Amino acid sequence: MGVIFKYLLLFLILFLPASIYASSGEVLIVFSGEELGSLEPCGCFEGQIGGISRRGALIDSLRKQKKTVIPVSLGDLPKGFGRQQEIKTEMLCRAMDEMGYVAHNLGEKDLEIGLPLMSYLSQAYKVKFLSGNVEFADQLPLERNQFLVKECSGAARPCKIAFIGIVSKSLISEHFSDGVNVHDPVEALRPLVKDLRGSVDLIVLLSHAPLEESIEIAKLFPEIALIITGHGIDEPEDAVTYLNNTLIVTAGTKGKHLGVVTYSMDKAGLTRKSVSLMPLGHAQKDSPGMASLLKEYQQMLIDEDLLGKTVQEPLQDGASYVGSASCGICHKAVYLHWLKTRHGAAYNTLVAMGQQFDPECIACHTTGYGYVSGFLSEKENKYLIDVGCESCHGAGSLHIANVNDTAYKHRSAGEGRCVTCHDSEHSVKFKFDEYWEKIKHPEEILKKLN
Amino acid sequence: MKELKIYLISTVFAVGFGFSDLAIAGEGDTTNVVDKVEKLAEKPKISFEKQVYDFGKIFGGDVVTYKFKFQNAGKGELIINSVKTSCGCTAALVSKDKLLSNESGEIDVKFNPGKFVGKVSKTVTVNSNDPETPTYKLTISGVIIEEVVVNPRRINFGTSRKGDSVTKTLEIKPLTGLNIQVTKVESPSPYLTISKDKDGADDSSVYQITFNKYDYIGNYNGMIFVYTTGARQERVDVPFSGEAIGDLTFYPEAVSFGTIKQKLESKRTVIINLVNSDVKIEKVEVHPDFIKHALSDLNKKSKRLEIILGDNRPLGKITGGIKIYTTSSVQPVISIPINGEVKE
Repeated sequence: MGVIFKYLLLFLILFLPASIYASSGEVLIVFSGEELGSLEPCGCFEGQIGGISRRGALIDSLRKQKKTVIPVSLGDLPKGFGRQQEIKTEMLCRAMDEMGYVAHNLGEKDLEIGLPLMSYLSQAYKVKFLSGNVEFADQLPLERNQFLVKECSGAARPCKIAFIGIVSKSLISEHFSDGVNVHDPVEALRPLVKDLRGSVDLIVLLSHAPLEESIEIAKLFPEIALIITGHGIDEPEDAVTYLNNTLIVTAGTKGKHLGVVTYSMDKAGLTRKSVSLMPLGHAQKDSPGMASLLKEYQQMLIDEDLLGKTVQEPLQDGASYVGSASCGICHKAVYLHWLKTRHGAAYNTLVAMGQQFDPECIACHTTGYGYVSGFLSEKENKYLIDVGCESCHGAGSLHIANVNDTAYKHRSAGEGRCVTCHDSEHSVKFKFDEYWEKIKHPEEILKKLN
Repeated sequence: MKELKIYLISTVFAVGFGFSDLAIAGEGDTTNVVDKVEKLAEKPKISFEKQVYDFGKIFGGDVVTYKFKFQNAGKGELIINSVKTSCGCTAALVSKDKLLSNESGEIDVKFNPGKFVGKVSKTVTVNSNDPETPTYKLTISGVIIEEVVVNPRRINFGTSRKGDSVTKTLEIKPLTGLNIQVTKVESPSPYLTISKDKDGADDSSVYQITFNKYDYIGNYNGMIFVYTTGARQERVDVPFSGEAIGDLTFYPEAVSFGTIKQKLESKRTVIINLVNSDVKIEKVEVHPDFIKHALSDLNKKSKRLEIILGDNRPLGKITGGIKIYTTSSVQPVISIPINGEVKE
């Protein structure tokens, strides 16, 4: 009997907490936002955080704990304009669908990228678009809701959670507001909150606005229990704010973190238990589904030949790029030295990762990309692969044509040029003095040419 | 005297470690208490001269550097575990990561605003073994200004019907007091007409930018160049973009299945919006034959075209296309390429 009791006790210790956890009904409101076109860490250095693959795996792991997981998005999927940003925005929408996101609030960058894309995404994907204070011209259909109510079961009684979305007027540029009419968020919220407060257990506001503005909203609407907000806040853990009963949190930027607010669900309704902002570091596993999506993204860049469609700006001095081998005709020792540096193999590092068709990566692994006569593709101008002489010293055609004229001497390389690529987003260990030693080439004494 | 020493030790210990720890330390633990107190007294303490640095106003492209000076004001060795910055535009280096008592060090912060303009505030987080303040926040803030301000920075012509002309204004405002002149505003695009509208207040000028004569359907983009006599901004680039639409719009412009396994079914969606409600879709053709399709009404203005790659497709590259035949005279046939690769 004693033995049976011991085993029963052991069973209860091992398994009861888990079953109580599940049956007590925990609801996790999971949030992300301001991806700004970030699908995955680019791989420039170890230790980069973020990415849909890690996010997908983390959300999966939360679901496997038999918790009710409700992922929502604050807004701003793209960071700018153009076809690559459009593809990224669509990929992020597909990722949200696969991760089971219920709502995506429209941020100003979602509005700016263009109505045709958002019209398509709103109709093609399951994730519901939220926009409580924006009206759109009737030119193209854009499916969106002012709010969304989700019902959670699994506890003594089902609970209802309302999600409302707004965007700050302060973020809307008048030059991009054609066909878009943005109302005062506070005025838009008044009737919505009034209608919802008696009929749901929890009101969550996705407030695409500066933190200060969201705090003011929290003061005016104490019925809102959770405000997911922030704009341009890189470190979300610093911005957690409590205002009476309202919790105000931000997801950070570039998809580096995943926020989770946990509620327990019982007869009395929903009670907030905890908030955590998890950096998506390398210890986090990758989601196979998201990894496959990322491969598809790279394939789309190839299929659509985005590199070939690059808009090239003219160089201000009218020079053109000639390639490092041309420089090497006279500067042989320098050229041979460069070949042995990592600058001389920069393109191959992209090839090894399958990212050589990504315009955002290629700019810092080739020479002159984005300028007339600069790198466009390996097929078009292979002589401009890698970070060549002209990446630091400027386009060399005028120097070659006027080789004895000091007015056309190549420009000196310096730190200002380095940091355009070696920024702390992509080159966290960069120290100019140390890195300079790695690429500094030997001095040469050249004779004047006749 | 001995009693007083123990009392003092006990008091310090109670403050540092909490009363419960003291309560379990009996008379026989006096040596341990002394050890602990000595360790407590040896703790490091990070102390900065200044926590916030306001660099005032700088021009875009100028790099700001500032050294935050700090000292180990404690007795124990201070170890700087990490120094993190809040954005890629800011770099921070610590002069030394291990400091003995009273030793001083510097966090060399470098802020490169790049193309950023306006108010900016960035943080540097210093993590150390200081038990009281393991995380210390430093802030660098200021305003990035330009010699020449263009408004807007990018011209969005929005969505317009094919053949329509669209006009936007571009305001160019040099910084007052520098006597900077705008010498030329031009664009290599044949579809732009640029004319000076008026001189505004404060040396500013306003230009009318008209996009016209574009007889195509689809996205367009390009660049406007503003040339000035400014030393820092001889040329200001203003990108422009927009989309000309016909009787129908469709998205995406290309259907990509990526790399997919042979046995898995895969679907893609094309949304067709009927801008001209009189236009009808007559038929849809998709090739190769193993790609199926299904057209359905989404709402009054839109149709959903599902492109379905069934499980009977062959291995290898998929190169196909969709042809949508309509009653539109402007867009009688819409062609959408299909790409992908099937692997085992």
